[in-house]
Amino acid sequence: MKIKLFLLLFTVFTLALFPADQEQTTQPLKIDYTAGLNFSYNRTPVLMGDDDIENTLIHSYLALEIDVGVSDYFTAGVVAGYATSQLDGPVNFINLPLSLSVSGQSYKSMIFGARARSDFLSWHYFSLRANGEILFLKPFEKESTIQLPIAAGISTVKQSFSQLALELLVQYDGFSTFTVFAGPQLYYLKGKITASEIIEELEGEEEFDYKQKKTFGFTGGVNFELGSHFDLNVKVSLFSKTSLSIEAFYIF
Amino acid sequence: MIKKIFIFIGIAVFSLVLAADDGAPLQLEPEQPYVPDRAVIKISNAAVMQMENVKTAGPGKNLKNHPLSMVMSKYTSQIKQLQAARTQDYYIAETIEGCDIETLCRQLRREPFILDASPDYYAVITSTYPNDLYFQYQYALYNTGQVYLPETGLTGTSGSDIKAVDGWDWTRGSESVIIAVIDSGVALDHEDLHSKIVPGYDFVNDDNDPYDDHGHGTFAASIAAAETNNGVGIAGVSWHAGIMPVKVMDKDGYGSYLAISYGMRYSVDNGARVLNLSIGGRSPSFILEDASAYCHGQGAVIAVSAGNTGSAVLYPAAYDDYCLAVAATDANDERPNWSNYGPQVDVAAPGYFVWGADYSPNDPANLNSYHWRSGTSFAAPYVAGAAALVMAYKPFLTNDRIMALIKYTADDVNASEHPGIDDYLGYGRINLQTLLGPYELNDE
Repeated sequence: MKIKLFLLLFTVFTLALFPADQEQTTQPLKIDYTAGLNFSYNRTPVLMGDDDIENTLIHSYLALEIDVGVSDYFTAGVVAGYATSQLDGPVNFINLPLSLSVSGQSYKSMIFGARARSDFLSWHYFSLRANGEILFLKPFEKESTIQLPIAAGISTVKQSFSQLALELLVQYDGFSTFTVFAGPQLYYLKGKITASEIIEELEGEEEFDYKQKKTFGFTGGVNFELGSHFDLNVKVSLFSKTSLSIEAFYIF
Repeated sequence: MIKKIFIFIGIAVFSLVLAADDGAPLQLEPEQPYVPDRAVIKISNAAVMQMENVKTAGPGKNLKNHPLSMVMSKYTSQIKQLQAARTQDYYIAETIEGCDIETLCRQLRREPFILDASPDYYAVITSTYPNDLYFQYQYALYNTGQVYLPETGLTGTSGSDIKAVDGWDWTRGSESVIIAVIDSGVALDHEDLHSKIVPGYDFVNDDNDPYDDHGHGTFAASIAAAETNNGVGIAGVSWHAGIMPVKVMDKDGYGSYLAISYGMRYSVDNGARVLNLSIGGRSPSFILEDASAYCHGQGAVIAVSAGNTGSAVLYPAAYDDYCLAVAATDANDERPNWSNYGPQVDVAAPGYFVWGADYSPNDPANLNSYHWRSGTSFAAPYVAGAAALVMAYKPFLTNDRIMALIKYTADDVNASEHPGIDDYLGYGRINLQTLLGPYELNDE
């Protein structure tokens, strides 16, 4: 981990030392607003419980994002939308009176969060960008009927998670209508799934925490400029998670 | 321009490498064990044809002069010896102690003539079918419609069983759970029981030797917890539970309420958490009721046979707050008409021509025999064994919850005649798969 952090910092440092023709122009402070829609599909390998049982969190969301840009170097915004999530593999809750297995159940909930972006170095057609994103899935619960041959009961499964992604991207904008970018990603995910049951006089509750399996990932993508007011951003992430994000922005 | 693109690609690749190397090797599953001193090599047919003397190298022959050994000469620090395997084109490399076989295989795969190389992985048995000799007749545990009485050719209905094989996928019990068999004692040296026995007591003769002088207790004990997967005898419901023999019935099959109550109290005071009573009397009495209440209060699950007279449930089975009263079913999930009934019946289990460890005091030379018997006496131990499995698997559950769970997960096998809880089979015939396995929650 330390070596990787060092390499990441080394990359930033090396790029920062790129010499002379670094262009630094002083511009008057300007504020602009963008609004966009963001669709994201993610498959994240996770480790569950004390035994680090492997599973995969699949979640996708459609969110509205509103950003405020301060000069050309810093943009921050908020995200809110609708998300679905599910753990792909079975989660067995055996510390309940009647064991429960949750498999492929999808949960629909709100997702909200914040994003920030800073373009802090540029050299010829290259620039360095730092992205930060934090997202929360609002805890959501789902009730199901437990129907045994004679007895019956109710189970409730709750799920929530939050994730933090930090990216350091090298961007190349030497093309006229699009920009490509790529770089390492630092990714954290923390989630919880809880199951409870009541079957006549039997009741119990059990929860599993889960976290990302891999912290380091790779992000790359293309940003298309569709006229003076529209941007389309396509981004993929690998290793820490496999995700595809498509964002369409209107620039006011 | 091209140079810049190369720089960009270089940085991207660097990022990929950084991301991919996350400290641990990319490994989705735990390492599978393999034979420690062996790698298996597969060479191409074309290569075999090219090799002179290949026909002289039969299975097991040393290939010291085989042309393949020239390739192997590179690996003298890792491979001790190379032999042809029984499968054509396979060769066995006997490795030097401490050799990293997976690394060796990776290297070997790069060699000419070698199509593939692999550690000789160990597989595991994935089924939980025990290998006990008479398991084939134990329809109560696993009913495929097989002949269960070889003398008569009688068969049952597939699936009319307690789903033990499926339940054993989740647990096979624990030595820490002790089933007290409060009965006529146990043949302590029976081959299918002796390793399971923990110290008990004889309340008939008031001594420490609860040896069976009737045979009934031995049979009941074997159903609940015979030594299982040992290649002999029968399979018990709880493979690993201990058996505490508590003798309260004499050689003629009679036992006083007071002796029974002593036996029950002794059991829980000495560590038993499951009590099996394949006994009963028609008259209620505070003697049995108090003993049942005491044992229940100490956290025990008490499985008791309902009786075999086709009439009201016997005591202590009828003490509903404390005991699980067990009725009998047959190999078709039907109730024999002699199985007692009443509102106190909680569940049912097979009790009609079921197999167990037979011991006859009149024929002590024939100690290790097995046979079939009928009666709710032999249905109750299935429930006792099931309770022992739950205790091992879910030690956090109280006895009341275990009793409730056993009832709620039973199959309502007589629903066509008596839907719901009824006086004949209670909640129904117990089902270990539902009892121990998870209830699947899926999107509806």
